[in-house]
Amino acid sequence: METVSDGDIAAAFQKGAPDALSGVYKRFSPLIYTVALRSLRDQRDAEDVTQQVFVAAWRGRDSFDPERGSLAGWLVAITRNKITDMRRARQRESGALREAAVLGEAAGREPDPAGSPPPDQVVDRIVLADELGRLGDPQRIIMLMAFYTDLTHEQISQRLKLPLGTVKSHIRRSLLRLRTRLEVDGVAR
Amino acid sequence: MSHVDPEVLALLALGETSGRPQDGEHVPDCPDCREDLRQLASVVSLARSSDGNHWLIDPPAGLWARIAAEAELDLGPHSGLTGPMPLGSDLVSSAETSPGTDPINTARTRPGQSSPRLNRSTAPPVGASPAKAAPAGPAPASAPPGRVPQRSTGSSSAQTDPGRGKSAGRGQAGAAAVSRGQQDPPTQLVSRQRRPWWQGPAVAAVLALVVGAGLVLGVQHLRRAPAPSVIASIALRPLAKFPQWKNASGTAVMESDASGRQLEVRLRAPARSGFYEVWLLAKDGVKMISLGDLDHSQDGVFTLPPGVDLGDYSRIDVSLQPFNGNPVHSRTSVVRGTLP
Repeated sequence: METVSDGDIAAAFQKGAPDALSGVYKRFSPLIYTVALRSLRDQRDAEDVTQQVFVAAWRGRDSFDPERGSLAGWLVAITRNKITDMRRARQRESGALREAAVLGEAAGREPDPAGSPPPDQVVDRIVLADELGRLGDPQRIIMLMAFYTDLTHEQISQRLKLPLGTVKSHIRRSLLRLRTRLEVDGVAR
Repeated sequence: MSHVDPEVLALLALGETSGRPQDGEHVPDCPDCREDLRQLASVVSLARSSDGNHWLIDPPAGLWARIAAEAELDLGPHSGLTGPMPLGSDLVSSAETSPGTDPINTARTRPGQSSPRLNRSTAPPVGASPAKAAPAGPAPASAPPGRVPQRSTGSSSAQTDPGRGKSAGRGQAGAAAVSRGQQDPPTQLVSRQRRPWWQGPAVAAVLALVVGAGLVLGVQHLRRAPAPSVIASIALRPLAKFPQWKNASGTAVMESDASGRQLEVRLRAPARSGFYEVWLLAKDGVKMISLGDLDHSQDGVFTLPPGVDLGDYSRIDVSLQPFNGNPVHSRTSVVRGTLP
């Protein structure tokens, strides 16, 4: 259950308060790390990318504009770039990029097949998981049951011993909240 | 024309039949309701398409110290850091963690540890046993919250030791006791200050009802171990007199626990022939102590020899050593840093 709002964290970050980076890391590092880990499938690379993201975010904090988007969205955008860079670096090391470049040039294509950002859906699923994790009790357990079991909302209300109206209302508001979060921080359009 | 009740739309998005007959007639004709339903349904479909591999994983403890070390480059000289001390409280939120440890909120909640797809008609192979994180491939999706995804080396290691893997320390021998490319990352079981909500007895009972017989959601009991404390965390930088290393960088994090002091060094340097060795340099510029070699990922965790005076041996140096069997420092320093 969140105790500090994302808005407060972003405000402290912008001001450059001494412990602001640790607050941002505390809140967002699982999101960033999981996106990197799922995209790169290598723990060491994911750690490196995560480190690069937070260092770059700190150094470039003046360029974060809350009017233009959320801090989470900004960090995810940096992450996607760093993942792209990491993939390109790996490709260069393995020589595969050279091969692909040769083939690509022969075919008249731009030589950059695999140094691309992670698929939008991968990122969105993780953003969704992040928001699900921030739902309080009993909203989260209601949504887990609603998403991942066969139970109807009536059965959910019986199991949890909550009034039917309460369950319906939680479902509605939680779905809206998840939708809003994806709109703000998601990638797929 | 009255629109469909938003609660009905939400239930429709979940795939339930809901609403009155006139709702069913209304939706196809109403762009607003249709669009709302489409959006909610796409959220549901995104959630249901998650195969359990998208629950958030905490980065390993220790990453924060490296970030703080590297970012500190921009915060100017180590103001306020005099002598070995826990990572400055101005860099670490001390709300729920002991000084110097990872600021991750270790009580963060996460829904069950296994695949969330709990279909009663098919029993998915969920439910990692509480004692182990069962990685499928390099990314252990079912790692319990707060536990570091662990690269197992098979060697006797810090499986049960909550501190930094002692067996990974290579001491002064130079030659790596652990084969290159296989090294235990620090396995930190960070102590929790609060029980997550899903460990509460009421919720456990509910989850048991939900999943029914045969499925385990794995409410895990985490061992509470004292986390080692960071006593120094510095950036390592190339020296002007070695321009060939100007793009190299690194971090060094020193931790102290019941068994002594460990130094974790991470290097980012271009691959070169030879191997990277880590040294403590004395103030006189002559005496030095070798701590060991970095592995092929340019990582190393070293146990400091007991009794080393870090006031004298205050500089951490990484050299590139040729494969000529000569144990002496090659005089080529890749990066260096000074302990506060």
